[in-house]
Amino acid sequence: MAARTDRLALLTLALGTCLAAPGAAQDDPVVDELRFRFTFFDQDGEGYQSPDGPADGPGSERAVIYQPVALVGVRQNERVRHSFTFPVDIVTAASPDAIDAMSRASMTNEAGGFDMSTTVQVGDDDEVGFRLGYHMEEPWRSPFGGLGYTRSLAQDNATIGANVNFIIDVFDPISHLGVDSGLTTRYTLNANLAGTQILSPTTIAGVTYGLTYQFGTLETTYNSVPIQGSSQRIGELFPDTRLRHAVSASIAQHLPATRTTLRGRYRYYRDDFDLDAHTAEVAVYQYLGARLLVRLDYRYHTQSAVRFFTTSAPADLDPAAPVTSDSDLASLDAHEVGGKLLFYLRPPGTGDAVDSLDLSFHHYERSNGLRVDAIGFGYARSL
Amino acid sequence: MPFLRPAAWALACAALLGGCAVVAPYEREFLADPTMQMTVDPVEDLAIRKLHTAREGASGGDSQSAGGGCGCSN
Repeated sequence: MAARTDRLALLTLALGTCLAAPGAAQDDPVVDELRFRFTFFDQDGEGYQSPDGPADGPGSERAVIYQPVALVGVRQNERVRHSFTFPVDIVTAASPDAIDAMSRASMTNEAGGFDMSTTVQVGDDDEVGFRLGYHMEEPWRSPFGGLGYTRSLAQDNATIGANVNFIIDVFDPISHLGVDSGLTTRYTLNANLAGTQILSPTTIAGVTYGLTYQFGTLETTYNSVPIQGSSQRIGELFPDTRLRHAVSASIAQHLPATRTTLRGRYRYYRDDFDLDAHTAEVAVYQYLGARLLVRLDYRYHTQSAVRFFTTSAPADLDPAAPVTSDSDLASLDAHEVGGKLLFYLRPPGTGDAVDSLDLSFHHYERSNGLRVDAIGFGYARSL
Repeated sequence: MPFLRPAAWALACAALLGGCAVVAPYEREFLADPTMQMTVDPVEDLAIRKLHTAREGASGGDSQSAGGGCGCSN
């Protein structure tokens, strides 16, 4: 019954949004973009929030994830364009999801969703957009949506934009002991400001600021925390609200002589859980002939722990006090290296549709004992 | 409030960038290259973004929400 309700909800969202777009009944839509990607994630490591190990932790975070994704872009007319994304996650794990660690009822969790965005050119320099979607995974149901506005300035040399988003998570708050106390909710409100600027015929830069406010049941209810000197564990508990800030700057520089593109990005993040983070990324794209493109990239992330992180809680801890042993919220450094090899079946600049196949690889390693290897295969076609 | 300083820098950069020279449309050949787009591959970005948001406490700053939408979100 729940699955049928989810499918009806998705269909209603898709049809309603398409019918609401201006000129829906008058133009022949054209599929101007198709993307398919399959990514395989292999994760291994340990975390104190995982009960799959000694009582005083850390436990195993072994997981294998299969992620097919499809994206379809449809140009409805000169002013209106839609984009549909269908992501799926198939997670095979015993420990990251404590529901399966407790019951062993299912070693595989599936998640899927639907994300539709529409942009409308309302004037020569103005564009509005809206977004609707739905995400499903055990035990979450998450409708989401958003509105956006972008204005071009100085003969399209610069853009400024703003968007707001909301997400409502409805889920069963299953505890680390497997007890389900009934449905609960988590609300996320987000606003972003963004700008881009062409700096030269071969250089473009961008800046983004994002503010996110969350309230409701924020903890992962099946996560647990070891207790000092005991084989028992207590449930993770977060404050009822969270305010999150993130500001990023990026730049892309093309070198025509060698057909090379250099990209860099920096992000600073801070929230009222006292988590402070810096992230830096660099990438180099290099064309090899007319049909081959190679990318190498590196990412570094460092963060402080949230103020209520601990690997072992005192036995007399106030039951109402926030506490977590989630290794994702600990003080950590993460290094990631990656690469991509893309082959153009039909390269850009020929006047026809552009078709490409690609193979990508990422190796991610965290200082507190987590490793992820990701391999991706993709196909893309664009007019 | 420490978060005001990064936000102020971001806004200041945006204001300063508005004073840059105008590049005419016929000079933007290289800016149209796929590797020069703000989002080069949206589906690959989606996969790698999830790798990060599910394993780190920080997210956002990419015109998307920091958190919410799945059980993996921190």
